[in-house]
Amino acid sequence: MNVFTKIYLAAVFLLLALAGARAQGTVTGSVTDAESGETIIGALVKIQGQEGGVLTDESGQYSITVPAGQVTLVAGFVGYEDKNGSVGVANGATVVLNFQMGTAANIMDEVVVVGYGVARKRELVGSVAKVDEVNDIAGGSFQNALQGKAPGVVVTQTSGVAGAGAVVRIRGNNSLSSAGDPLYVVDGIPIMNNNFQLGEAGAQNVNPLNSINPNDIESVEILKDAAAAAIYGSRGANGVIIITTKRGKTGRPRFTYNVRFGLSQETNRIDLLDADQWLAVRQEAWENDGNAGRAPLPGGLTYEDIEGINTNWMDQVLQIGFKHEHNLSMRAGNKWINAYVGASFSDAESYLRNNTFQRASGRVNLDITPFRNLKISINTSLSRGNTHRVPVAWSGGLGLAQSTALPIFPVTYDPLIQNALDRGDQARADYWSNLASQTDNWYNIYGNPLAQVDLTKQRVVEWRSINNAQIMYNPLPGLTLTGQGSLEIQKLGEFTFRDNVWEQNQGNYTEGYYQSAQNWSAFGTAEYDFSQHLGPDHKLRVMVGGEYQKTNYYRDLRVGYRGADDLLFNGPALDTPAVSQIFVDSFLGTSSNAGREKFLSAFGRINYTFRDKYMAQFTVRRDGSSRFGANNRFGWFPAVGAGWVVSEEAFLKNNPVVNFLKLKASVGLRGVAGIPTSEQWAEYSVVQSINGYNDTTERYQTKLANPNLKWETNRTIDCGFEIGLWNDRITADVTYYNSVTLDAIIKTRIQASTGIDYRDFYQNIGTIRNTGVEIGLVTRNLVGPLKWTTRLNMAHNSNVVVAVGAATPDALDGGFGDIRAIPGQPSGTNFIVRWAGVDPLTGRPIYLTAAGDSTSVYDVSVNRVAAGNVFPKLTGAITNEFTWKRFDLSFMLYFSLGSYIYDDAAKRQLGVVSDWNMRTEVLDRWRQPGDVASYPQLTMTMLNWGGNDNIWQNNHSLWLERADFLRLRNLTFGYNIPVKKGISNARIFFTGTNLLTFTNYSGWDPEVARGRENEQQRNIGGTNVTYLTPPQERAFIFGLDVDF
Amino acid sequence: MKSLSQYLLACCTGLCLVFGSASCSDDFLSDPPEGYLPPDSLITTAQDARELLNAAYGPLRSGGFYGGQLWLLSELMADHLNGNVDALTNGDWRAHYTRTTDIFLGTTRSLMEDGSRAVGRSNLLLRNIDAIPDLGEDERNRMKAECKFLRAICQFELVRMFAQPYGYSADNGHLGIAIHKDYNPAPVNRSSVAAVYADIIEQLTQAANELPAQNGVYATSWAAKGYLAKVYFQMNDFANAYAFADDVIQNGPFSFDDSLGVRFSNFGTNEAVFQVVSNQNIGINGNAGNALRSYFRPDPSIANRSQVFVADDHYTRATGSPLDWRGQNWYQQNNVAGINYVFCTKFPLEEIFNIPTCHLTELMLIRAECAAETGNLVQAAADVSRIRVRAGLGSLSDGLGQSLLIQAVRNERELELFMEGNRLHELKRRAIRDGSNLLIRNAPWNCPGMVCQLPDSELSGNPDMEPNPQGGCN
Repeated sequence: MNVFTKIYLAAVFLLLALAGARAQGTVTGSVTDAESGETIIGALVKIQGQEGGVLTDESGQYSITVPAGQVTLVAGFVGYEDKNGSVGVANGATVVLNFQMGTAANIMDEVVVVGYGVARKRELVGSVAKVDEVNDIAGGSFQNALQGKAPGVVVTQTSGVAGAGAVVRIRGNNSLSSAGDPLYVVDGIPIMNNNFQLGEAGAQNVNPLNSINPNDIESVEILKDAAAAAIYGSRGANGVIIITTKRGKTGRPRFTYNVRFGLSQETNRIDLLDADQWLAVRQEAWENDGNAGRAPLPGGLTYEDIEGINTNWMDQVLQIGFKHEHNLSMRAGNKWINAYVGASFSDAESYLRNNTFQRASGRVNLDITPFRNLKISINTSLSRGNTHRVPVAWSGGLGLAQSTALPIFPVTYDPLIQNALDRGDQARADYWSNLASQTDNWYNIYGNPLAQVDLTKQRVVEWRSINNAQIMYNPLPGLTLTGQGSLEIQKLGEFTFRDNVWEQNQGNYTEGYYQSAQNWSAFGTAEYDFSQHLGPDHKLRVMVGGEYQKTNYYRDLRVGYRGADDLLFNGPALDTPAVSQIFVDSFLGTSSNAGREKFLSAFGRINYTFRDKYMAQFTVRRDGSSRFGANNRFGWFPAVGAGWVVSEEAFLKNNPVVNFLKLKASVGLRGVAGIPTSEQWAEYSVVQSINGYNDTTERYQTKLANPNLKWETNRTIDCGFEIGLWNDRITADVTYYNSVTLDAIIKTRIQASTGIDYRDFYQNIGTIRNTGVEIGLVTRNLVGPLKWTTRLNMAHNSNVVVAVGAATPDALDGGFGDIRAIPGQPSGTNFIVRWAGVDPLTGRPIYLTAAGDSTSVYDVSVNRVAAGNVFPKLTGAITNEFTWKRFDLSFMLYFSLGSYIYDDAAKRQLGVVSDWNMRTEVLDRWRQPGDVASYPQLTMTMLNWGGNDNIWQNNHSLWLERADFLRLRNLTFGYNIPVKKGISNARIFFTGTNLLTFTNYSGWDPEVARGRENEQQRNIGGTNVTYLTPPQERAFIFGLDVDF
Repeated sequence: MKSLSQYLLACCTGLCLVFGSASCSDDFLSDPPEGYLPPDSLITTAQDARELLNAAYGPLRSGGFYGGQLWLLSELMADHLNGNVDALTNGDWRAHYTRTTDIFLGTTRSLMEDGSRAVGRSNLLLRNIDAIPDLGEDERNRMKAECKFLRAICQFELVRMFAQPYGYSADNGHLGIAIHKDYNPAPVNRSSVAAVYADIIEQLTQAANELPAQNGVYATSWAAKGYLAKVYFQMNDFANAYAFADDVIQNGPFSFDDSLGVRFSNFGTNEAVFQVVSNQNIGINGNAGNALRSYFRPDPSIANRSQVFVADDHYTRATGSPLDWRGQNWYQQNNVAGINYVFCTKFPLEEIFNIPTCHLTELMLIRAECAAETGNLVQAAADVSRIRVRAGLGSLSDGLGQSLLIQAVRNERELELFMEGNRLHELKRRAIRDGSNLLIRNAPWNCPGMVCQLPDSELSGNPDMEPNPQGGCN
């Protein structure tokens, strides 16, 4: 303990002693709702300007000891405006002071969390959206609950698969080859968010944010522009999502128990051919191609074998899923310590057989206030997400059920054997019986969707612990020193089990694979409020700070074991290294391919306000990272913003219509640092002699050095206004932004003929512009006993790739589905040959050349053009909320307009007739001259489509559709049950998700994002490309919330 | 206020410290991955250079190049394989079979990438080799010559696959491939076929002069000469082709195999002027011929089918004589699920074998045809007869005229070099030589699709790169 601290502590004790000796009185009274007159339980009453205070009891009464003399008390409760009351108290006397609380009228006094601090919404010069309710979907991720809640925050759920993630884009796509996701900050910690930890295994990306329990979240703040996010420097350009977890509240322990039960089903189904239709289509194609006789059947089947077989494979793998979730939390506190303790468990099945996501989590948040000017906060959380994965899309399951699992295939051999016996063909029956005995009666076992999901198991288990300790110290009036250290630990295990039958009777097989990461970070800030020295007109706050972050990634053990039962699943948990040692005998090898990275930063912020009318903010951050090349290690990220509360001016003050009007504008630079950690380094490879050419060692360079690689710089101009009309009956927030990413990182391709092994080369050569308008509107239509509030939020974004250097469209590819970034077009452009229709004379396809002329030749080398794009031009939601007495009803309609979907599987489901099942739309095909049909004459060869003889190379705009949709995203109906003493609140409710969808899109679901392999694919083709991707989920949830 | 100014001072000092330390922490933030080696220290010793040179040979045996698809793809485009829908199911391969390749094919990507790796690594070695202190002058020169040899043979194979043949246009000004002379990411445009062949010949000529006659399994002066014979023959330059083929046959240390069975076997051949070698010490995994074998031999995992079958008409022709060892041993007809398929059995199922890419038989066929073309009918007849006799057939009858002799050589070439990546380029060469409107499996020899389209991995790295025209063969 140094001298300063000793002196300081002595002073504090002295002050406390003095306080104790002073004259005191008591104030008591009640806190009630001004409108209904009902008492408010748990309201906080305190002396103005001081910490601590007391809570009202179960009859809404409070009693507080105060110093004698004139005293001002403040009463506060969530959802109500703070109320002040002054009263004179004689020494030893008891005085009554009642508070009638009005609902919070002015949202402008709301406090929002910004980077490294908080701010009053009124004083904000940047664009910050706040979302409170993020737990309305059972067993999901909080991201899914952000959809439609904030203008300009576009959340696309990838699918309805359990544990599926979401693609979140704030104000459009700012990046091409670097990570385009926002930065997520939990209680001040920039957390890890790697969607590609398992690549695209099982046709899915992991959702690293699943492990955050939405019920622990107090609020989510979204920093959208430079003024708000430049404080996060090189990681702020894609927006920052700040998650603040719940904290304890002073008062007796108060418990909340939530329970939800629900059902899950798919939002939609596509229509596939049944067995007779499929056979007819195949026969027609067979004959059209000049063949005679019956078309041969796949799989060695004969027409006699399949008599009467008509399997609907989708029925086999779809189900009604069951979900349940339980949350129990406690908040308690006294003047020394406040605590929030929460525990949660959820098990959410999807509509896919054997697919579920389970999450168990616990959190303890403590605030310790040993002295009035010192607060220590300790947060710790641990969660375990366990996704019971099933293969989807290209990897199987429902993907198989709509592709190669044909309706003429039986589920088991039984119908084949029975058919043979029925026609007296014992030899054929024996033949099938023999095959059946080898696969436990599963027909076509590896192509059988049901066998696949029943004989294999896959678990993705993620442990995540986020911990931090923070000290906030006010050594002097106005000076706040904050220090925080944190450690986030993540461990991801991937476990697979394959049944003995699936393993060709070699014994059950289990395998486990681990990755882990540790993310250490620390920051310190010093903030001083100069206002006390500057007179009543001025407010000035200055904050400076520094931050260091270091993240290490490990790929741990991979073990495999043959012969045992599904030990990984029913035996000891393998996701601890100690237990895994028992598998050492069957060790399959380790990988030392660990990455690591560091960030070192300094930042500062100045806020100035003059007469509460004019406000200005300046922020700056200097950011360095090990991700950047040696020639460009540090960058500056400044931003300035200004605001003017016009309604404080004399000419507008007390205006009967406009009660609030604020104009604001800002400009600044932010960065994107989301490049792979090792991109700047040259790499080489040594092949040991045993594998080298001629039994001799090989040594060669695999990758070029890239010392100039650096962050992307995003320059954002943002201006807008906030307005309140008729005493905030209508409030609106309108913002225009113009955001240009300069030095955008582009993964250029090195020509293959150079002979350089690793041919991705990241260069800062791109320019991307996003411009848009965001509108948030809240109207309180009815405010009497029946309350009706309408919330509209809407955003238009225009995304243009301005420049890409010399990168070609095929260098900037968004993965399968022919999505590219092309100058002059939005970054997710469908770059394909245009379809012009079916020639009524020949039944052959007609395409358009790049110049727009008709051609029968399908040529991707010269005729691809921008035919559409995957980004919506207008997104938003309208929410209506009604409350009447104890009932509440709300529904949200979410819409997305102006985008296209490319159905990458349509070329097989609607194109060349093959060994895939097809969609019934294909029946609208050309059959004879004069037919005007949607699809060409049926054929089994791609040559008849004018292209190369490869049924996969059939990508054109026939498979491109408009993706406009309007959906009833959420409908909630609730009832507050009258409660007795001991229970303060109880509410039952029903929530329906995705109940109705209005769209012309013909596929599964117009809201879709397929799994991707890397950031560039996620940015460019992350949404609105489908390849057998499962649809969204329709959920019906019943819930009960009890506070006691 | 004193304390305030103290705090302000402290803040400013802190600010300067924080921003200052953030700015001068380059080393602190420099955090290279484990095992990282700066590129300028990759090749500093003679041993490094030897290992790099060995790595330049490595890609030759990869599945995209001599190890497999280089031969397969050209054979698919020619007329020896079965392209029925039930027989040939691989989508990419069908595109080759129907001469409809486009820019998105895994096959052409591998072909271009694997073939170019040898070029890139040779370039990297050439860039660094003069700065290596402990490398003797002889070894340095030999290594340089090997690099030139490797670049030349890869360019020769790639230009035949990705460009119309030499002689397609009068001045050979039609587009060839990009020639890279440095290990450098800078894009390079396509050179004319004339320029590509000139470069190949220049490099092979230098290699022939600078390489030793013996060099283990690596390139020798004989290998360079053998390839020169192949290149000149492809150009229909019979005088030069004859000279180099004759030189290797007469003066080289190679001997004509008595048995046809050893060319692809673990016994090895004495004919190999240059070959891609297998690793003997790690079992079948070290087999350079694994990919080739996997295409043609029955695979239990696909119901004992193979991935590629031989065309029925070629099978009939090749097996017409019961005496012909080749017909009896390189083909096998089997019934798979009710249909008769012809398997190519030239590549052994279980043996580890090397892949001779230039061998004495081929050079003898070149010498024979060049001799016939240039009027040396005796030499031509002698060479052809030697090959026929080994196969179990009789010598050619005496006194055949020039055109009949040429026909006889071509016939032996077709049978002898079956599935060795010869047929497509041979037919194109003949069409140019004969000035004929030759059809290769019903499509003109010079239709656009008769050459592979460049893959996106080649085009996407260079916005000025011109793709080949597509289609026109069906």
